[in-house]
Amino acid sequence: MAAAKQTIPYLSGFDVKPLETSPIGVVTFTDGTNAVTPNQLQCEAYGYTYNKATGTCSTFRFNTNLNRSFSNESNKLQGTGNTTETGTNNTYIIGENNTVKGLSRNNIVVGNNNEIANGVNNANVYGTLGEATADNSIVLGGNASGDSLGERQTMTLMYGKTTTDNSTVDAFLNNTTDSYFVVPENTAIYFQSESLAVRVGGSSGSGAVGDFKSWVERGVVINKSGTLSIQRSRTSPASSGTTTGWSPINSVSGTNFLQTVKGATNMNIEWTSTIRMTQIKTGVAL
Amino acid sequence: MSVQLIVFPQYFDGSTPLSSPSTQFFVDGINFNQVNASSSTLNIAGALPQTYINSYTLAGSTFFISNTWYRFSGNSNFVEEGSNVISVVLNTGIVQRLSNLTFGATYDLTLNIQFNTTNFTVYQYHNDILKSSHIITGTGTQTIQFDAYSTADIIVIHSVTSVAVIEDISCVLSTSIPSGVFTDLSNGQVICDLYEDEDIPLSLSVDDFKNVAEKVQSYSKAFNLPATKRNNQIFDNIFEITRTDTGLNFNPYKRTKCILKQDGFLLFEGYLRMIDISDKSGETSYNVNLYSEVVALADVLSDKTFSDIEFLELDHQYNDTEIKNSWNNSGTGISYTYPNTSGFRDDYTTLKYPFVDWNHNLTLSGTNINYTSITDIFRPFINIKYLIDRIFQVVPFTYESEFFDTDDFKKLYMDFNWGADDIPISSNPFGIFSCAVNAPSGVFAGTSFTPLEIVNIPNSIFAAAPPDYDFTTHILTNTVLNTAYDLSYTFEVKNTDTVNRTVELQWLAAGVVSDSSGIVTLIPNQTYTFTGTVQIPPLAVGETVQPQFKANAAGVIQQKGTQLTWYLTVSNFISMLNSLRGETGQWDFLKGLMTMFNLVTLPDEDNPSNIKIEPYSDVFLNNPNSVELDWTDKIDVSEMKLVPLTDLNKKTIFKFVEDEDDYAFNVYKKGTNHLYGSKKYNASEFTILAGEEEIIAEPFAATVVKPLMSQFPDFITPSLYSMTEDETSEGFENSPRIMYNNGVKTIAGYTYNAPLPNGSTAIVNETEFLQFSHLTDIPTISGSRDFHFGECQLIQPVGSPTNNNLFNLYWLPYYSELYNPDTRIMTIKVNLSPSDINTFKFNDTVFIKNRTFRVNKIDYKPNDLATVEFILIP
Repeated sequence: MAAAKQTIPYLSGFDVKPLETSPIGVVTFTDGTNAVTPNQLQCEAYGYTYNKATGTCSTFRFNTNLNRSFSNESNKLQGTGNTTETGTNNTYIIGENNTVKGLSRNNIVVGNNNEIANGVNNANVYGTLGEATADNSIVLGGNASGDSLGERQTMTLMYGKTTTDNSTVDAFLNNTTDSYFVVPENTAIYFQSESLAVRVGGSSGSGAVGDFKSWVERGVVINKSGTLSIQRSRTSPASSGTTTGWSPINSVSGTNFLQTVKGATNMNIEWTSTIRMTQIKTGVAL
Repeated sequence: MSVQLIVFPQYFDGSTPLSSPSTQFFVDGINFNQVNASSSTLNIAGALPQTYINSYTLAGSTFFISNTWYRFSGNSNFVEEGSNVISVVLNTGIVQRLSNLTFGATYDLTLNIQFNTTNFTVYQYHNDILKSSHIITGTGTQTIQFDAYSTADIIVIHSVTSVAVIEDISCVLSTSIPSGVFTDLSNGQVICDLYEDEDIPLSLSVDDFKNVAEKVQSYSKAFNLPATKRNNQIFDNIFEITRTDTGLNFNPYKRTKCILKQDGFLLFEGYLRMIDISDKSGETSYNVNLYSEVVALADVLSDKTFSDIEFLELDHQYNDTEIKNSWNNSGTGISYTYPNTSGFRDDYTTLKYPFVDWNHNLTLSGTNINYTSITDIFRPFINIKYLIDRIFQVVPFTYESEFFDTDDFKKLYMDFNWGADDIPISSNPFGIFSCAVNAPSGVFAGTSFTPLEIVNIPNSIFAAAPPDYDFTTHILTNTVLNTAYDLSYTFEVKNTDTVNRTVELQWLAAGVVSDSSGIVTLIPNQTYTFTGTVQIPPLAVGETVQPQFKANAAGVIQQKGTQLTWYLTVSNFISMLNSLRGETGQWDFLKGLMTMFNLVTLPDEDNPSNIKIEPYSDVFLNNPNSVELDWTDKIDVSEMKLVPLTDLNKKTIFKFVEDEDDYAFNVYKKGTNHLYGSKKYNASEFTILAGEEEIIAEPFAATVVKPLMSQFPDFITPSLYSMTEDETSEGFENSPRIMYNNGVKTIAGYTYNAPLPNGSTAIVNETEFLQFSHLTDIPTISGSRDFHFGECQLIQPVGSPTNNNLFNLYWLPYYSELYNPDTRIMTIKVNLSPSDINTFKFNDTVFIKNRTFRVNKIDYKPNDLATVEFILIP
């Protein structure tokens, strides 16, 4: 008895049989050598549907929204004109004409004409024409309906890092390696970075676990046609124990807003910074 | 012209009216679980084993309890079990009195001997009378035979000089043929007397021919046999209600092999079943019927589920190591706990853990996909071929299938999901352990966590702690795989200092804190009671559990009392397998496969209990073994009837079971108005046809495969979760899924993490996964095959639908014939000879007047024209 790999048989009376189906469902036949477009008789004999107008043989009606149906789960939209693009999940929108770009999860939008950028997760956007571009951020858009997206808004972000020595290193947005807030072009941002450092370990004999220090750093960073500059100043409202050499400083690199931190040798120090930004995103080249 | 009905005695080929050759008469001869607890008589003076046998004999009758082990020795040693083997040391022995033997029958006693320094002896006793003895030398499997002298002979194994290790002992009826009751022909066969005018009509049908697994095939109408002297002897005077038990009675509930011949040609070989015995005016006759098999596979399996299959040989640790080992096709496979007892287990193919989105319970963190447990994504799948082999292992049928041995089929698996909840835990096999301790001089807490202590209370109605608890270290070290503990605790502590002190309690399991009290401040001399419950998740062997406490100063917080109740439960692999999928019927499983692949089950001409299983097209359309018979000269054209097929439906839907909780399936259905994995065969151009038929591959459901999320287009997995009304994703009790092993795939640009169920770190930053799907390739390529019925729009980037699906490959050839307008049924008289019937096979074609036909049914009556139903092949 034959147990060879099965192949589609030629039906009795036909010298063609199905060869392949395209992603949109159009079936091409073969005569054993060449790819052939089947006629209606051939198409229907194999159980497919023939379209006389287009002269195509189809096995299903293609649904352009199918992938999107699977990509957007558990979203709740209240209001008109709101858009959740492909890959938006677990997102709640109350308002009108808000847009959540795709590949994002767990966002909340309340207001009008706000937008969450592609790939941004866990963001909260309130107000009008607010724009969230960073994970875990809170954005308040304070714009009139005629303003542009993100023209006036405040943002709250967090940076974090753990240091074990006295080198100056970058803290990262949400303590996620190589992640930074990107300052939009032709945008000025007033920032206030409230940083806290706590020693959690390390072999240094100076000081002890639980030593801490805090700082408040303020300044303005501006992106003039792709080039960032910064002005800043810093105070330290509270500290305890041995914190010699500990230092957070805000700076810029490329289009990234940086929170650098410097600890001490053989001290394990956890750093966190809450950064509130007040932004003006201009429509002109600065 | 002669018709002969030849009957074999029920005593044939190892069978008796009461038992079959595989019936085991030795009890506990494999694992010897009861040996160490059995009666043991030591330091016996006198000749052994006779002296010992005599001691259990009174007035010539033994009082050994049947099916029970007894041990004896001439010294202080005794036979002992260890690691499922027994060690018979110098001058020791072991006894078992068998039961339900058939007097006079021959039995095979088989010993699997691992070690044997010189020799030992096997004795057979009837009461205290020695009937036979056999000296056993050497190792390996050795079989001796003995004839039963009673229904309960005694078997003794005794070693005088040898140290022997025996792995197992069995006793089955010998397949050698006992002295037959009937001696007319060889092998005890006898030719039945027939009524002179009796022509035994045969009805041969292709529907029966290709469905032998599902229904009993009756080849004849019932007919009578006269109660002649010969027939009475064959049926052992069963009509006599006063017949006595000779031990050789004809048993109407046992199958009786028979052969029907005409003019020396074999017309039929199968079984005779007695329907009734009638007595009409003093003339007794036996009403009998002929069957190819007395019972169908479907009947045998009808009440069997997968929980009836002993899967103990698949037991292993459920952890990240074994999950990844299951992905391998060479090198390190799963480390199974027990030996391969079925003979079908394979280190690499039997069980796999593919990545399946079982509950969609994930979070994203940067480029990491994080799960709460490996149970979210890895649950066992078992190889389909293995399951089939295990099903057939315990039924009175065997099977042959070239199709089941094809490479693609051998890469199919069925999920053994346990359902929506956490890993199932079996009921409480180890009982409850409880202790109550009043410890005036209890242990003091240190500044780091130190063990709280449990004290063993002598003579308590409860054991103070489970057997794995060490009263010295005060740590429980788990010795049974996947044991879980539910603990209800009360720990009383006292601040013995003169200042306030803080104290904190925690439960540490497998190095992970399972429960923590938080910090409690006690004023001087204050007594405080920690109470609560804690659930310790399933532990691996060697993992530990302990309650601990610490204070902010050493030697000031003292343990004063304890009440602790341990509820031990075991979550083992077997309970995982049996919790949900254990309910799936074995026949339903086979039937579902037959529906998927349009399999037919054929009788083996040489062995009615052997079932051949192949796709319809391999048997009837592309069978190189089928021949074309020319019956042109045999037909009777005086009466011919041609009719088109009339019972065709306009639409036929080939589909799987619809899992109503399957979120992805429902999204697909809603989005496309099409059932994923289904095929609609529409014969709407046949305007006279009406109706719709559903062919459902029950119990299997179709499985949507898609990217885990849009962000991860190369992470394509089966999607098997449900969504609640508030749009919370969760697992569900899915219908069984059949999937193909696509192999290990690599994801780029992101990783996934999943801890063990107890929270311990397991899979970290993993970039590989084992992919299963309904397709042989993802993305699909030219020649890919689909184990769903029809082409349907796939979720991209899975690829283009392939035409090589179940319908096109296995059903289309059949349906294209069925729905061809030239297909007709022709019924005609044919002059068939016994020789024609003898050689005919339903997968042969018949050539009549330049046209080719397939035979659908033959009504054959010796000495008359046969009525044959043909199908004209277009």
